[in-house]
Amino acid sequence: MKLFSRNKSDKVSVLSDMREKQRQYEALVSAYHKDLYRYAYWLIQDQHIAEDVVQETFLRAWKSLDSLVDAKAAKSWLITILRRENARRFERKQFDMSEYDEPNILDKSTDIEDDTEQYWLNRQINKLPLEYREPLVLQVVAGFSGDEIAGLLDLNKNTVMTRLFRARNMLKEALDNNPTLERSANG
Amino acid sequence: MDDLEFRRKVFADPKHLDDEIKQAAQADASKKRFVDEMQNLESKLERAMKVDVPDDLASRIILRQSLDQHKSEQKRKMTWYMATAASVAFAIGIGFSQMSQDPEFTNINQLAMQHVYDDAMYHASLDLDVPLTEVNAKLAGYGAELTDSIGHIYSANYCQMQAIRALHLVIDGKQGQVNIFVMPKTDVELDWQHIADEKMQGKASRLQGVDVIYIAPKQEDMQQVQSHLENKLKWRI
Repeated sequence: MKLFSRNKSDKVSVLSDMREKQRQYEALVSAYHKDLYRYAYWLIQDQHIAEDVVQETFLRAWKSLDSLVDAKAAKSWLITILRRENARRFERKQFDMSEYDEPNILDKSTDIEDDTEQYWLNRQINKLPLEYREPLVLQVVAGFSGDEIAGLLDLNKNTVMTRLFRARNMLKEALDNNPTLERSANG
Repeated sequence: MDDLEFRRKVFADPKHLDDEIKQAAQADASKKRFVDEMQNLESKLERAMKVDVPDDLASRIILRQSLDQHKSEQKRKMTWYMATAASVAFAIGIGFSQMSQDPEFTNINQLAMQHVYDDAMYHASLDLDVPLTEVNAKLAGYGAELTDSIGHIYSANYCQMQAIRALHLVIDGKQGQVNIFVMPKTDVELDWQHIADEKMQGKASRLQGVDVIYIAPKQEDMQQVQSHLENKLKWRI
């Protein structure tokens, strides 16, 4: 009954396949969970939801790990999963809530309140429209190139570069218009 | 490269400046200052954006995955268990339904005879001398009546034979007591064959309005018993 009983060497190879998959998965988690969390954080503007979404993302990644062929593409593969998870969450949310709640990220972060400038900058980044904020995060935090961001967001590269330019331009203007911080920056 | 183009490129990606930008910055002090300024801003931006990641996030992600895997394995096992349990239950069900169609009782006469045996002790000492009017009152429920006396009636009680509610009459025969079961016409698939064992015999008579079963001593003339009753049995309209 070849169909129903595996011989010993088959069992061993199945076990080692499982172990290999687990090892691969853990490597993926340890290499990318920080970038993914930070991306989710800036995308979602809530620490706890960001963490949930990252958890969901990795769980989904585990289930479809076999579809990841190119290890070099792992990060953008994960980002794509995360974007999809977040979109799904948003669809659910529209049924759950009638109004969009304000980002509450700022009140929860105690560690950045100590640093006035960083806190201020944090607020400014959060004020950026999502279409500018998202490519900026992908570039600064995840280290993607313009081409890669264009691929991830399904935009052309020129649009991405323009949005990156506008994002920094807005931050620079905000910084220039803030006398307190200018003083501290110059002093 | 004009100033606006220069600024756009630096703004778009301050950390990866191409050679053209670098040369332009080298050649122009104000452009150089702008690049420095932007790279300074970029460092601040990086620090601000690299928010703290919860310490144990990685281990929690792995924990979640192993729990999920465990759960789905359990579920797989459960499915298997459930499937097995269902098949076992199914097999048992078939077994029971076959058992309940006890071959002993596929014959209605057999069933009635068993009833008589079971009640033998009870009927042995029971003599209610039931008047004809009472028997007729009970027979009315079956749409039947006796036009004349059928002799001494020891008892006339309703009894339940499986799903059938029968009127059980005990009368005198030539060889001993005769048990008569008057039942509503049933369309249940049953064997109505005449049966007999070493003590008694059973015979069914399928009449117009009712089915009647006679359980009598083995030596009793069933034909006689039958006509004794059936000649006096009439149908209420």
